[in-house]
Amino acid sequence: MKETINLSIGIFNEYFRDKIFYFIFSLSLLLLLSSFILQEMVVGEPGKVFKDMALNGITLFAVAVPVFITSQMISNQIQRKSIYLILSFPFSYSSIITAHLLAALYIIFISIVSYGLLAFALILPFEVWVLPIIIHAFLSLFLGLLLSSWAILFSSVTTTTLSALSTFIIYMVGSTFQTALEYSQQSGNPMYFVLKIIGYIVPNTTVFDLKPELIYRLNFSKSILWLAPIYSISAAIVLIAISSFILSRREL
Amino acid sequence: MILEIENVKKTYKGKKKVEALKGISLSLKTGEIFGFVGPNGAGKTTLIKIIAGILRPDSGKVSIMGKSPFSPEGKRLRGFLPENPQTFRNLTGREFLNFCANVLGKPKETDRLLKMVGLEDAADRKIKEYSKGMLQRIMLAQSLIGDPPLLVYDEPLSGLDPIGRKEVKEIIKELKNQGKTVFFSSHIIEDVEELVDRAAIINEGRKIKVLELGKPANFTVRYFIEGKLFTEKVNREKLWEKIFYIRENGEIYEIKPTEIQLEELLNEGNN
Amino acid sequence: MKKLILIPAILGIFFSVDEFYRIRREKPPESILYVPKGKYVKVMVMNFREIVADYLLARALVYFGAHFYEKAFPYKWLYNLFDAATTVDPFNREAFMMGARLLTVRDVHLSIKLLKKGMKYHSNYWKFPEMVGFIYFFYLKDPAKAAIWYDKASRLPGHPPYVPSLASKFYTEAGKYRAAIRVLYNFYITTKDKRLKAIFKKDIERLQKRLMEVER
Ligand SMILES: Nc1ncnc2c1ncn2[C@@H]1O[C@H](COP(=O)(O)OP(=O)(O)OP(=O)(O)O)[C@@H](O)[C@H]1O
Ligand SMILES: [Mg+2]
Repeated sequence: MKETINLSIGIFNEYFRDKIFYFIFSLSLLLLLSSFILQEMVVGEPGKVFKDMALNGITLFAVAVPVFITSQMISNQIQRKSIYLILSFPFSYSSIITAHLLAALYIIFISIVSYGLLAFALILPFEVWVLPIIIHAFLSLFLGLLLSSWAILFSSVTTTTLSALSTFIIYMVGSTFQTALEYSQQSGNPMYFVLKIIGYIVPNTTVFDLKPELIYRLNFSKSILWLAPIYSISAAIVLIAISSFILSRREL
Repeated sequence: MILEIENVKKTYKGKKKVEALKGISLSLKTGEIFGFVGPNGAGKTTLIKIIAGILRPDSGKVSIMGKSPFSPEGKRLRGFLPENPQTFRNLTGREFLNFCANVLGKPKETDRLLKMVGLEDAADRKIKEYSKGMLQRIMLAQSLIGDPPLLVYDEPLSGLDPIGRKEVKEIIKELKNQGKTVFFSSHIIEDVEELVDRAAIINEGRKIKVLELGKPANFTVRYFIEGKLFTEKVNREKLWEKIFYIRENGEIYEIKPTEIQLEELLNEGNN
Repeated sequence: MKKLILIPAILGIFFSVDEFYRIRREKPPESILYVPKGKYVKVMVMNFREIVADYLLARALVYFGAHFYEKAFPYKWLYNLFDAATTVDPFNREAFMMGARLLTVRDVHLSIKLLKKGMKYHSNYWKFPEMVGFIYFFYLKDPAKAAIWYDKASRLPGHPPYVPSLASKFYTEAGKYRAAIRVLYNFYITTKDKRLKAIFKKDIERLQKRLMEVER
């Protein structure tokens, strides 16, 4: 375990310093800046623009890091042939995969926390808005873990472009899944049961999204706060197992 | 025997099946430098990946001091330099070596290793700024972390300019002086001749022969008889006989070990 | 050994997904899209002002309806909506009135602000100052200010007779008899209705008596 963590720190350093990270970071600054402009241009409840931007920006990181960074981790190393060094280290495939996933998680954590602090400061003139940001950041971290696990799986199977694309698609499918489920339920057709079974495989990312509840101060089921982590950690373990099995079978 | 390879076979099962290794057996003595020579596509990298514990053979046995190369213990007994090495790009050389030592749970000897491969000046620059030779050298340094007795290098000399080649050769010679066993591949026989004690020649996944390179087998003799220059290839046993003959009848111009021609060896193997 | 962890993981997925299916989530009452501020919209809408203004008004009404019973009613947002609608189409006098009336529910000062904005565009429309006067009288209990605004309304064409009479009533309440008489007198000499003239004449005489008593 200690070796895995050491490995993950090295991988984290490697990607944290990469330009792609700065790209995402400047994107978030742009987001915050545009919220100023938007605030000026639209009529709305005071501070609501900032609240929307705060929560959406956090989600952006939880999605963009898996899509742009995690999905590249294994596939890029295979393409560049730099994977041989890590494979020659005395680690199991599963600890190599886990280390990459941890590195991705560090990146998500750091970006969410720094962005969250910035957003908190921006909302401060209107309202002390702490708990909603913390709750959303907490859930988004697990959303990031879930999407990153998928990204690592794709990354161990296909090329860099395809795995980025697949990760994005799985996110899109996951975020429309709840709507599809609700519609099919209303019309009472057999699709509902098919969808329910698919729901065990496809990640239902709507679960991690309490934005409306947090912004409009609605009630939400507190059990989401521990179910979402259970779901995303369990899925991560299964996906790590699948990815390491596939990686060990690939003739690199 | 520090490394033993017995009848290793490997077929790549891609779209097109490629029989990369068709049963290779080798064994390395402790402290020798062993060359592994063959043309492109001979299967050198395939065998080295198996020894490095990256690729599983279909059949056959490999053991490093009795341990499987896929076990963590076996992996700790050898250092590895991949073909066309590539690694983390955003770490500095020093950070990279520290990272490797950390990950392997080995003591950090970063400064000693940096000095050994001559990278002290570039230690704090990012690896992505390194030239190919520097990259090769930092990866050589990485292979030495934790002082493993066996070193497995895939084409350590390829892609380097003459100065770079000389530097890497010096490092390998230095390793021999330290008592390490080095197994390295190359497709250039001159490199091997200069460095190694023994070499195996392989082609199309088969071992053709093992050469003892300590003593040259053939000599090229050039001499003048009656003002005419002759060049002749002479076997080791017949050498003195020939020398006496020339001294009686003419003048010796040059005697040197014959360069081994890879093509010839490969043809021998085909026949 | 390591593979055993897969069993709780798979169970974890089934358990949590099942729970997710069970959780029912509230829907936000009305999803609020952003509405651009009037001055920016004005640039953007070109020749479709009326339609856009109507749309903004409709949005404002829906929003008002959806949030009316909420404690933390974001009336400022409502004001902004009417502000936007009336900036885009300032010729719709009803929009000013509607906004002013709805806004009195929470913040009459915003109503006054909207009406004053309306007066800039419709300086001859008596209903705006009349409404401001009404707000000062009814909500803010300030007859002096109410009188001034009714007075203003009474100088604009088309106002009904109760406007000057209320203006004079408020002036009287505030103790400004001369102003009260002046308002009534203005109406007395302009109206052609004999019956009204008689009523106003009586009122003026009564006020003049009061004035003499006070001044003595
Ligand atoms: N990952 C792979 N999948 C399928 N075939 C492969 C793979 N790697 C190598 N081969 C094939 O196996 C054979 C041996 O390749 P190998 O890389 O071992 O040769 P090599 O001796 O290292 O050659 P070179 O001198 O060019 O490095 C070649 O025919 C090659 O095409
Ligand atoms: Mg090779």
